[in-house]
Amino acid sequence: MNPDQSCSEGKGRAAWSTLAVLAGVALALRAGDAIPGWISAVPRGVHLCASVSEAEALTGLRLDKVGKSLAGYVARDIRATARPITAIAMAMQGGDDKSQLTLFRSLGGDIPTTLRPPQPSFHELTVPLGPGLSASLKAERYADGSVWQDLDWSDGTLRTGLRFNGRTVELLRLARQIAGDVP
Amino acid sequence: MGRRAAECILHGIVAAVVVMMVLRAQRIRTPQIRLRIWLLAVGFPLAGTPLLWWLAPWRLGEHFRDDWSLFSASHLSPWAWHGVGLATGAAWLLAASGAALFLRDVIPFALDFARGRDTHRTVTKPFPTLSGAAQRAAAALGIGVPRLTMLASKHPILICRGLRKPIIVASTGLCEMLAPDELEAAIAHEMAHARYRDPVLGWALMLVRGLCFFSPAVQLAARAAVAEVERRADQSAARIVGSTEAVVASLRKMSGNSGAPAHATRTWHGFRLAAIEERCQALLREGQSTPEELSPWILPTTALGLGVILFLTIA
Repeated sequence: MNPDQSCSEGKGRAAWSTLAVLAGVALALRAGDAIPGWISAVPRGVHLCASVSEAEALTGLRLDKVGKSLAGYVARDIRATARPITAIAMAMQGGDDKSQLTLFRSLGGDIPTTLRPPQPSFHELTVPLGPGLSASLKAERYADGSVWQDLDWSDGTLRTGLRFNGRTVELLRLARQIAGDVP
Repeated sequence: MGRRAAECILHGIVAAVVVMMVLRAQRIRTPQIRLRIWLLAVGFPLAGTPLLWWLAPWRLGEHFRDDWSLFSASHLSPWAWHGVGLATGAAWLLAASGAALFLRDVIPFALDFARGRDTHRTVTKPFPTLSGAAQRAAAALGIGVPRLTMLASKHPILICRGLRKPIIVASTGLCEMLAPDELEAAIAHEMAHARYRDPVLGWALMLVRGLCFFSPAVQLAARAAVAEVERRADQSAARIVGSTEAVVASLRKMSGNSGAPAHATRTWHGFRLAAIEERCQALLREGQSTPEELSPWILPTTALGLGVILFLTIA
């Protein structure tokens, strides 16, 4: 092996090792960024908020009036996205510890699937919520076999959704109250 | 402000890790090259990070965080303890450790400095052995002989100081304590500091440490840079006098260490003894090895790659 060949091999090895270090650090950072999301099942771009006010500050959406309509339900998980659509998903527990309700709200577009993953529905109908306002009601069966009601309506650019595992009558009562409360 | 300080801390850690791994991967041993690469880790959080804020303020927006960033501390938001997010807690802990590291080094330095100012010292004419050693070392390094100041003190003192023009300060106690070849080696070590204008670098590093007192990685990287400065001077001295043993002996005698294992001493002074013993061992291991050549593109490639990674890393 001549010295020039050995020198160029050395340079090549040095180049690859530097690039490998940089790539390794970049990958480690990317993994470090993703790990909390994997563990908490929070997709990238979705923020897990500690409070309603934190979600409101992030998105600019207001939920204070909705909160009054949902008295009796305790928020246990609040998620929000700021892009591409500002949206909030607030999972709540009913006072009977069995009923679970998730409120979705977005401004300027559909509720992102990162907040409301689509579920197979087996029944769909339109229900009136108030004067000139109707909602789409779907019955959905989850992978664990449970059946949930999914209600969705929009008022101008504001879109609201409810997912509920209790009785339809209760869901409609909540929806009408929320729809009536919209400022 | 808090978020920007956190980004400085984060960038310091990433830069230090990259530098450490590049040094290991390239198996770089020459202190001069190692110093240059360590200075990247010191300089990036101070100059590079504010430059990124100025050039690309949109980096801090949600769009960039969610769609482009490699790492965003805001994505640690799912983890919180008693309402304090993991990222916030970690930033405070790291800032406290950075401040502790800074104070650990700056307090003894400030005390020594103040003590030195208060003590009245008598200056005498340099011993001929000292002047001769300085002339020989200067000739070997290709520089003029700097001003020599001789203090009448029984304590062994030998430092290179002076920001604009280097001055070598030695004591009569040093000349009496060291054997002629050890004195030659010790003077050659200080002349190497003068040759590379290390007092200026030392003050610059102290200034950076003061400005980034909250960044533990900057503190450790600056320490590593200082260690490389000392190793560079050790190796230069060994080459000038043609004997690593003389340099090692002078270092051990001046530090009052008879060569005991570093782990035997754990006091404040012991920490410094351990560092000096480490230098001695490195010198004995590497001998008077000639400096290896740095591929001209390694430093720019590392700097560019680090810049890209830090651009995509947000607190």
